Amino acid sequence: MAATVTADPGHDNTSCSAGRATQTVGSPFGSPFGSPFGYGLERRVSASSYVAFRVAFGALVAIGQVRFVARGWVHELYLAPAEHLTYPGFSWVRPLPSTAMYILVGALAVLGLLIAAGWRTRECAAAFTAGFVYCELIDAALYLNHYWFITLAGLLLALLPTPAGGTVPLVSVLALRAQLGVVYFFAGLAKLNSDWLLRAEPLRTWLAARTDRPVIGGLMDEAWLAFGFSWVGAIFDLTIVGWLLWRRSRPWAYVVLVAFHVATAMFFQIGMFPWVMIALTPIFFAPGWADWLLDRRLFATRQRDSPGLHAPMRRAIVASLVVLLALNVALPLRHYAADGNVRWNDDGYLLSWRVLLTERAGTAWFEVVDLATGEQWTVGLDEVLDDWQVAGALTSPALLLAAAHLVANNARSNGHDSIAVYADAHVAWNGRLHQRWIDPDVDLARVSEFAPHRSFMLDPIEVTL
Amino acid sequence: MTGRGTILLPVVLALAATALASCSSDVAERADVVAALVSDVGAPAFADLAATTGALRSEVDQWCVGDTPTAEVSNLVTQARKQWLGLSPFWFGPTMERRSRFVIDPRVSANEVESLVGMIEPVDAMALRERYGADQRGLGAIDVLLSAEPTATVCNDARANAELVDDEAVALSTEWQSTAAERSANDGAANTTLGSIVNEALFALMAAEQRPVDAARAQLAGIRSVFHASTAVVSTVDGDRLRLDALLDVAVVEQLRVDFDAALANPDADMLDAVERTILTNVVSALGLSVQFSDADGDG
Repeated sequence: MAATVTADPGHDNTSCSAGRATQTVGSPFGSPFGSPFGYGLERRVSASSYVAFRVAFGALVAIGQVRFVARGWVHELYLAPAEHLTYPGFSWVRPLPSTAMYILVGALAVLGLLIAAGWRTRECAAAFTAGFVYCELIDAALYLNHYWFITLAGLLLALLPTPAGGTVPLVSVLALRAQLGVVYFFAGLAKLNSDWLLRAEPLRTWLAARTDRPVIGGLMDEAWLAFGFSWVGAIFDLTIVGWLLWRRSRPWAYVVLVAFHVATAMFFQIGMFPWVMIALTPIFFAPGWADWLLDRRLFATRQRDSPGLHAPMRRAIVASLVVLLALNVALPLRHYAADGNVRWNDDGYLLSWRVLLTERAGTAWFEVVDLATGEQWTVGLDEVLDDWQVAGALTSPALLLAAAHLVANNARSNGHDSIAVYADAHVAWNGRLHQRWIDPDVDLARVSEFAPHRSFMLDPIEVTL
Repeated sequence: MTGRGTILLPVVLALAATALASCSSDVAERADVVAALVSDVGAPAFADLAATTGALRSEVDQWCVGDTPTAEVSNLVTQARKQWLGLSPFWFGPTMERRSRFVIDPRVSANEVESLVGMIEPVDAMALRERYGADQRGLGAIDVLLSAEPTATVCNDARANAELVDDEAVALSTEWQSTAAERSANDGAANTTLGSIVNEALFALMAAEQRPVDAARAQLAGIRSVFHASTAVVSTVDGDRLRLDALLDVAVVEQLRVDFDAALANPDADMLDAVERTILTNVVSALGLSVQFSDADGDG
């Protein structure tokens, strides 16, 4: 059934205050697909908020790629390192030759612009996401939570039905909202821990170093301010989606959101992240909030009148959205299934929106033993890695394990066939006294890259200052 | 909102504000600490160094006329070297700009120093500074020359080196005095200076592992003096002033005290590593000097 749904596309019939739209579908879930996804595919709303999201996303990722080249990061982060710290299972990913790497990054910028312009959005988004993921897989020390968000948003743009006739299926708007909502909610959930709420760490440490900021810099080393920021930050993350969805609070919520992200940009060097969130959260506005965009030839979609999707395509979209939704929920929660404290051992840290939760400073080097000859020597991280990789490896058990494997491989290639690698690694986290965190008796060369970090780490000593 | 709600809200807000205010920390201001470090530790120590090099200069003269035994001059060289090493947390700013490390006590080559003795054109302080290598000048060169007989050519070179070192020490003392205020003029300058002091301290700790025990102790004592009040290395300064420990938690201060005491008693690599580890982790982290943003989405 290709139900014809008539809705006033300019009104917000997707929020908590829905009600003004009209539609001819008897039951919301009475479609042949029998699911909210099926309903969302049939019901259509104004495409303008989707288009605004697409334009902002495309422009931001294009700017991001240009910025990457302009700052020399293509060379510094992809090409210059002699070795790369790779993700488990992805050691085969290698950077392209120099020229090809620059062409790829340039192509990603062009794809961003094409996404913004709405030219073959799904194909361009798929190509962009594939290229972007490849770049991120080159070195695990490059991991940023908002790169994961860009990946998921790119995937959604590749999957979701595109506008036709000035409208999009409701699911195209809801899925993008859900993706942003997941970021805020799980970031907020992760803040519900004793360090954040009862010790105001790590904000207390970080803010104290920001006393040179204008206007309120003099207050930055006050504990009450750190506590205030911590609690407000947690409440903001946990509730902002609700405030944005409620029509009456939406304008104020967005003002607060902008102020919040601008403040984080002022106090912390967090690159594009604040601007990404500011630019994309208007997807929570009424679907028709940016109808003026539809009149612009540059941003408008081709005005086709047959928005219907074939059943196999619908099933594929629904299945993909179900998988994405499950991933979005499961990944941030998976650390509850692991032993130990995720803030200490990072088991379940990746891809789970654990942002701004831990300050770590560490020291580490490796003791390498040739088990055949008994020969021993010491290897510093800076002997195998570039400075920015060292900074990551000093504070990440996963990266330290990857570095140990690099050291072992280098030793083997130098004729030491039977190698053991032990780490002498200490870390201070969230204001606690430094402590040894990698088990010095574990041969890291024999630890699988897929092993839980806890298997080669010591338990934390809960010494609080 | 009901009348009860109207009353409750301000009460709740006031209670919350009171609770937050009670959390207020009584920490020292960074700018005050930096001002104290520069004016109470760095500048006086540079002045002490200049006094010693001044004495060394005149004693070298006396040695050349046979009035001062070699051992006495050597002791002054050693004293100046210890003072210089004790100043290693301040090897930035004017010290860096003047490249004083390559003038006052660079590593020398005895052969290269001796090769200058008796040259057709005798060396002077200016020539040593501008025309010859760092391995031919400074306190180490004086050490080499003191091991020879005080002939006219040897004395010429010894005097030139003593003059060079003294001029440099005096210039450094003057420049540190005159620029002390600007290093804590605002929080930005104070943070920069704080970072420089800690970074230089870390570099010095790494270098101390390669030094003889006495030299390593002198360097450690200098580093400790910027961290702990009551450990001043300058006789003219009372030890009860602001130091870096005013910006650190008690447990970190205690850990540093334990680490420094152990390293001063036995300055081997393990003990020095322990000091370095505490500074690299807890101090650097607490002062926000190298925030890692391990999960804060860095810059990208």
